[in-house]
Amino acid sequence: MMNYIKKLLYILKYGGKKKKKPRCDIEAAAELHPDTGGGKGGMAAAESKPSPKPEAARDPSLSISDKLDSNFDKLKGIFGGSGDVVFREFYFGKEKTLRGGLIFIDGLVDKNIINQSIIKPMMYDSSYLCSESECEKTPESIESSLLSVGEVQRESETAKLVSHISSGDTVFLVDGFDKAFVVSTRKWENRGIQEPQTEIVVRGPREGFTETLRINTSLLRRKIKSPDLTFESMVIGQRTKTDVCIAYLKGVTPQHIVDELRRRLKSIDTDSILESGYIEQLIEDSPFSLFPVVGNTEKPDVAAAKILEGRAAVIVDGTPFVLTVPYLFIESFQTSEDYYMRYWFASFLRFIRFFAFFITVFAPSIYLAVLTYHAEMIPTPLLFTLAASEEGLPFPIFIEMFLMLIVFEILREAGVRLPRPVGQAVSIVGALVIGQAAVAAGIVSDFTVIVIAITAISSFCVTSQADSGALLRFICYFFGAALGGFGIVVTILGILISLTKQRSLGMPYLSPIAPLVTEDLKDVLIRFPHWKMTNRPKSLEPEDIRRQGDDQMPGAYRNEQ
Amino acid sequence: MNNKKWKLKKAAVTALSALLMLSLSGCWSYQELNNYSYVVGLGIDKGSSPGKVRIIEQLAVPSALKKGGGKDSGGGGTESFWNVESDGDTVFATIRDITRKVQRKPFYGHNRVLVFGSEVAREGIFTYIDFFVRDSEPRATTWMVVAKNKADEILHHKPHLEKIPADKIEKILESHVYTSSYHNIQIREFVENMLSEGQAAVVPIIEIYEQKIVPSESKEEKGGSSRGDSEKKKPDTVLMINNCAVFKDYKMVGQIDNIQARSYSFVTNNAKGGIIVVDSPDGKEKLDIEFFGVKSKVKPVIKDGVPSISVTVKIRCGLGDQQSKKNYGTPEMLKKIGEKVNAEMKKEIMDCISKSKEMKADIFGFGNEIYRKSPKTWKKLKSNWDEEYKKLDVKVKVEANVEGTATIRSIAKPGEDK
Repeated sequence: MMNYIKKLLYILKYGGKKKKKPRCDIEAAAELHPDTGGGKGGMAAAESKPSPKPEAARDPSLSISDKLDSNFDKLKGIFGGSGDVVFREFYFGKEKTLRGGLIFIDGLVDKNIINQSIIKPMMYDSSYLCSESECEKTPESIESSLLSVGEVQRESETAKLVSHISSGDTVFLVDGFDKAFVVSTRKWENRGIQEPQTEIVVRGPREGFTETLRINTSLLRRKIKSPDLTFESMVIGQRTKTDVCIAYLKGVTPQHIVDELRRRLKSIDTDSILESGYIEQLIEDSPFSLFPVVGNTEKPDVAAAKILEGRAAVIVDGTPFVLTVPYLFIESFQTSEDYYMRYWFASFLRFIRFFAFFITVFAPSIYLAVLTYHAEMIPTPLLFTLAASEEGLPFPIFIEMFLMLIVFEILREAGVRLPRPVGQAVSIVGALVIGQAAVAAGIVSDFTVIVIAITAISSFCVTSQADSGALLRFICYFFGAALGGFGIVVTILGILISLTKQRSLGMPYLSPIAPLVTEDLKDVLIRFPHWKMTNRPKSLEPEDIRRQGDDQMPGAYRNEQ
Repeated sequence: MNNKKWKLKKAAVTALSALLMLSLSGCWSYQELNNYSYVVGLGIDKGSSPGKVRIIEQLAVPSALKKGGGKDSGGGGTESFWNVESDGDTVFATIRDITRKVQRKPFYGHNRVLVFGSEVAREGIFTYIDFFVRDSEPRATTWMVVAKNKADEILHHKPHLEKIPADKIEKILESHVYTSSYHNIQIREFVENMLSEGQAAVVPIIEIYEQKIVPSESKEEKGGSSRGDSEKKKPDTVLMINNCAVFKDYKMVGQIDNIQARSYSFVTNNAKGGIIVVDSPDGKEKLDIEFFGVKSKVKPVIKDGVPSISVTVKIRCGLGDQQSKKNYGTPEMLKKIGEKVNAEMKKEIMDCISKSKEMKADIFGFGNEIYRKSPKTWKKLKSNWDEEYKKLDVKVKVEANVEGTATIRSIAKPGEDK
């Protein structure tokens, strides 16, 4: 028995390092997990063994020379024989004696700019605009007099040139000049700004973030025109070189949040970032927790609102999901529409959402526990109805309910993954199988179906906690089945303890409820009217607490004082 | 690093102990709904041989109670209830013994009525009630009734409207708010009364009332059938609460009638609504006065060691019915009616008190009030409380406030209402 526990501990320990005998640990881990190589040990392994830097290894000389041919060869060597990398050579100048070369990646560049603003002035205008000696002696003048493009840089480091080319810029090399002109020509096909699929609103802006970082920043910029809105760019991922951007509002977002976020992003050392989920999982405070401590949104208005409350956002190129930190538990129950509709109904919806979350986590377990452990708790007429519907069913309630819970999860997953036209078929089959056939065949009782249906519908009310909710539901279900009401209470306590322990970028996850920040309760259960929310949430510690002037309550004589 | 190791260790131990907790507890007291049968009513009678007790358990049959399933009256369909009886020496043993006849273990958490046969009640129910207070399944909120004859026949009487007799009994007990002419009592209150020194308790008596009218359709439709005449002309019977039993030291010592029981409700603050019939101020007709709020206050007064009780009853009421065209809707008239109500109620309450004195049963808990006011006085009185109670001076004051004449003043043409 002890040996078994020790082995289990080993498995759990796998991924962490042993200081004294690191080799032994990896060996032991490899023994237990033969199919996992030692190098894939997650963050910790990456920490100990830096991942290879591909280009630097292949290219010993760091900067380009003044020979066009050697530069071309060097870059061709770096890019290999990739078909989409275009190397264009041409002559220009008064007597067509100057040799120039363009390097760009087809598909990432705006060909109009290259044709009209680079090649055309070089080939035609240069013949009478620049004297040969001038262009030859001071190639800088090419930039000032010939390149009719908005953004031009001069660069000599090969590595940087390569990354510019990869991101869609055009590199212009001139023979005899040891610097390259980097012309900004980025343009590629992208999905237009569409209504987001995940956060549907009845009232509110319909635009959503797209996969392109620049479009996303522009969407935010259009919401917040203040120059304080700062976008801090960085590149993460050894191989993907994904552009990542921290967005925050200077003077509002607390500096320590931005610093901490930057520190965490900088310490990421991985070769690929394909979605913001990678980053989320690499910067979160408690990696073992069921609850998300980093928020995500697809809507610029939501991101803007969070930034305006004193949070920071992380925009990742290649995904429409923007991360927001710190993320508090209470945010799962707030939607953008809460603030767009009037506060009476918005507050009512808050209650509904809290209730729905409770239902979706606890309804199956409470139903099971009450039926199997606490029959005296059920009102007598209801008890008889329940007992009658359970009469003659083949499975114990525990199995029956568990089957239905699993079937629901299968249906949900199938509904998400299947192409839309087939999805409808799934829902029809699901509804018929679960709703009718199972009851008619006498496999499950109709009450079980009702409870599962309520649970399932409730789970869609609080989407950002939907996955944690589903897992908690199962945990709670097993405890409820084994220990009855006591088990459920134990689970609730466990959940509460884990919630209070959570931090999001150092902020207590459960604030403003625990620790209690009385002033912030106006946006928890009840959404106070806008004219009452004079201050930003105190629990986020914004640098500028005031949001609006005093006395914003509208009224006939308000402005006459 | 050490910290991380420790954390992982802790997590592993927690996970393991959670797993063990789940698996080792072995689903303690896990019961499927269908492993139980549900007792809804319980009767206690004398057993067939002396010294034995007979327990009648009324079990609900869920499948027959389900909407659309079963029939509520006999014949071929499933009965909604099933009465099982068993004889034994003691209550608990007999109750357990019933599982020899009932395959699913009876569950007492939903038992609502406890019916005592009159024989048992007169002999004393102390020997039987202990289990229902001690055991964890039966509830302290179970209603108590005494059968006029045997508990057996009450629980076997098929009710109208309801499907289960126990249901019917519970519902009559709950509708006491419309007459207040009987007291409904739960086991807890009963035992509390018994535990408080010198106090008696009032428990409603249930009987089978035979209706004088024989159902007419059974005469016509089944006239030509092969059924015997005796069955076809059998008059309809209903369960009914009539009079209340007075228990002293777990023994039934006497009865109070419905009016006395109403007075009892008035004094003990249990009257919620009902009709008082009084003579009209001019004495020419009877008026029905509906009362909807009663507040009473029992105040013990101790003078030179001699206790007396003053009871003040405040009644909110209104005129509910009259026989003449007279207009009673004037303030003076209402005041006069109020005086009539005062007199009537005072008479009734005094009657109830004297009846209780006759039985030497302190049903109102006056002794308790004296004890609370002055424990010293009570110490002297308690050894001889039965006699002292007989001598106890009780003053009753009734203050009725007739608030109106419901929705009309009188059915009379203008000028006619003299």
